[in-house]
Amino acid sequence: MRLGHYLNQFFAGIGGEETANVPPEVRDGPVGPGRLLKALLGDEGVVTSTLICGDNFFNEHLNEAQAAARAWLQGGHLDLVIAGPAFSAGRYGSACAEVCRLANEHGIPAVTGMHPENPGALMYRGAYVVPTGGSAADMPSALPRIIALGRKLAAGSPIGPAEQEGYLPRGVRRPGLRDRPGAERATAMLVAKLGGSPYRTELPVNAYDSVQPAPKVVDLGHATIAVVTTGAIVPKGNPDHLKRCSETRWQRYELRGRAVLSSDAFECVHGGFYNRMASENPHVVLPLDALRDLEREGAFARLLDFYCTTTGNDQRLADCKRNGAEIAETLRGERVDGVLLVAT
Amino acid sequence: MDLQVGTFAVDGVAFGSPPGWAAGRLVIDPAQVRALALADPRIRGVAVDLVEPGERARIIHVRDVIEPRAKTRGPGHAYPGICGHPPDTVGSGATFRYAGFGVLLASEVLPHIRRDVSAATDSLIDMSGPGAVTAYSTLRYLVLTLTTDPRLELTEWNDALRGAGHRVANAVAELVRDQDPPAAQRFALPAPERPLPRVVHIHTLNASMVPGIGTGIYGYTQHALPVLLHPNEILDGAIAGDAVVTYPGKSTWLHVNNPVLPALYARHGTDVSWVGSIISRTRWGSLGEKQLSAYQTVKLAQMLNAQGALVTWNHGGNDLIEVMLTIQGLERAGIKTTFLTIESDIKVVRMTPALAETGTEEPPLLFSVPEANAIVSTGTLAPSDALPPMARVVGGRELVFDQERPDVRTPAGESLDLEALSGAYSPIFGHFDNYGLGCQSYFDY
Amino acid sequence: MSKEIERLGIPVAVISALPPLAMQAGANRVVQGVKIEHVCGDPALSPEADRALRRQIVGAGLRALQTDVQNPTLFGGG
Repeated sequence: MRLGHYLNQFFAGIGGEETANVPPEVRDGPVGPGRLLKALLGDEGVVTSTLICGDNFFNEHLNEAQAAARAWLQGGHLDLVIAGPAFSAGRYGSACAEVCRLANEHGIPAVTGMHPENPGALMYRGAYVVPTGGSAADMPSALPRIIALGRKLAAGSPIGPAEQEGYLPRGVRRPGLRDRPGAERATAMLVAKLGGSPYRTELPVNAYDSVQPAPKVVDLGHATIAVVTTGAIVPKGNPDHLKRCSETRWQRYELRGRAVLSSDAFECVHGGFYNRMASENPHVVLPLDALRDLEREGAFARLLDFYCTTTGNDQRLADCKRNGAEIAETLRGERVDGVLLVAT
Repeated sequence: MDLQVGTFAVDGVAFGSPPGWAAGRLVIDPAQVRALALADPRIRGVAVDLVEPGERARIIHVRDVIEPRAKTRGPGHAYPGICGHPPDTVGSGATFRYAGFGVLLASEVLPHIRRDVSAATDSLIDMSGPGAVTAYSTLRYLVLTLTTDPRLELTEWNDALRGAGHRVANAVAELVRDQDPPAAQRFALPAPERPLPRVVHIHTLNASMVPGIGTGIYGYTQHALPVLLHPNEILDGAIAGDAVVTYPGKSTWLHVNNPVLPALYARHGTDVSWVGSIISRTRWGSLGEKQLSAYQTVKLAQMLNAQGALVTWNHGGNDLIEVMLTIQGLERAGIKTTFLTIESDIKVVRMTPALAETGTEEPPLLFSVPEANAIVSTGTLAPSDALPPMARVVGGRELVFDQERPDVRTPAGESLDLEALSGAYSPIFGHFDNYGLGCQSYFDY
Repeated sequence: MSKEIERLGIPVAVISALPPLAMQAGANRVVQGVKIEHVCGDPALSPEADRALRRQIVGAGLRALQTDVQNPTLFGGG
């Protein structure tokens, strides 16, 4: 096995913070902790070459760093790349994650290691990151675990769950069987938690990805406003058969010339709540009457002459996102300045 | 509350007369069953069938599964407060039951009810093959395929079906009243001999947003503030389902067979002191109501001096909010929680690797709080292949997969590619293992 | 859905009966609605009061659109 190792300026023995600007260089064979890697590999393989880059350089001159990494990866005939471990060093961790990503782009398996709270652990979701302690004191424990996982990746062996193989979750979940029925596992986990014994949650709760807030509407008086709802307000009779549940698409309906949505002409087909009130007065989900009043009074220039709707009930996130993206494109095409979205 | 539960395991069911149970074989008199079902004039027709696990059979239009249970000693009636049974508090004395057997109510939803209650979907249970993924595929059934007066409005339809099911279940349970159960177990919560951590079971329970239907506690179905039950009350059927909404896999059978109850009983007196089950309704309409229910649940747990809580729920994006608020409140009050839950269910109709894999694109839970740090996931249950054709179909003939298109009817006996037919929900009855009957889960990769 | 619209630089005010859900999902401008079944009004009120309530909620939404925010922010509604 031909192994390529990525190190920062500190672990390469060049220097500390003051040398964090050193540009990328490739050295033959192992450097610094690479020697421990070589010892661990024994007859299995060699550390063919080491790519070194200053942490500041990598982060501030990303294009050049990437170019150097690509050249190293392309020229090296490497079977496996090991980056770091970076422990708690944030810039180093980010660089390691990027090196892993580039290696994967070139079809070369890669592993890195860092403390679970190193921001680099979140940089590239697909990276195999072995959790380590916070400082280099953990090197003797970290490297063997990194090599063990690296061996499997290089061999193309199937990689088991994160909790069994010893890497940080990569944002992918797959079904599998556990050793006991769920009710027993839940009771056992509670007993462990109460007794202060270690336990591992089977479902880590993560935050959603957030979006940079769009800038405010500066001049509402001249703005075009659109209204969108997940409340499934449709023309009576539901001519396009919008589903009450598990809908994958969205619809648009005309508002031109309408001051109100009457219960004769519209209804609510959302299956996730008691929708009779919204069918009797669709305004409680699509507030057209209030919007027309405000439009007439000049609060904003014009209401877009159609509205968009879907059924926000048991909808797959992928469908929500796609519908959202399509609606967004449509509204941008209509030069909409701001959107009211009534969620259900 | 001290309850002796006597179990009569069922290894085989046959039609015959006289009816009775002996050495694992249950004999049912079909004429008697038909007469009981038809005792209510709202029931216009009934077909009676026996179905076994392993058969090439598909049961469709499943409305409920009821395990026959009878109180042989002590106050009250099994499944109290419904179908005319008195509301007396149950959970003590003795109760006889069958294991591995259920009375299954099948009835195609009436067109106007399908229109008004979109959650009243068509469901199926495959007794063999790739679709036999749930506990329901392992039970023996007496299937009652009922036809009702087509003009019944929702609550009457529900009452008629349920009444028929419980009349029959009662009669079957009564067959063994005077016999000695081959297996018996005592259920009680005596004070432990040494101090043990006090745990409470928080059994959050969806309430219907449609008045008059849904799972009930002693028949009480409406949204209400939390109530404290002794687990024995649940074993005696105090929580019972309806015949309307079967998605996602709610049934009366599941409540008396809730595996959380024996799991906690097994630990009582050795690892924990179980102080009771708090039933909190979920699917409240406003944030204020959700908060109130959650806060009152936490307060009840505190008044019980609980140190730990095992929280379960039975599905619904909306419901998850108050469940998570409850978990948050418990943890903030110093009560350690574990949460037993299914996982982002709607995406998996077929368990092929591509379709079963999930992650950041579909978060496992729609809503969560940082305090929910001890979660057991029962993942999801789905077949990995299309369902094969089945020689025998019981309960009806055709399935509607799109509630908006009831005119599009698929013959139930043919091969069914659920992924193509159902879109983002599965019609397999019970495919949400809410209470952890099975070992399936999800792992991070 | 609102995040996809915001990604294109169009501000969105989400009117929701369950702000924690919307905010955890990353909606940046959220207005408190009434109840899930009638987010923008209350059928229990007289038609005039219901319409006034609706105007208040929609007005809060428009105000939210005119306000700079850094992260998910709740704006009072009715």
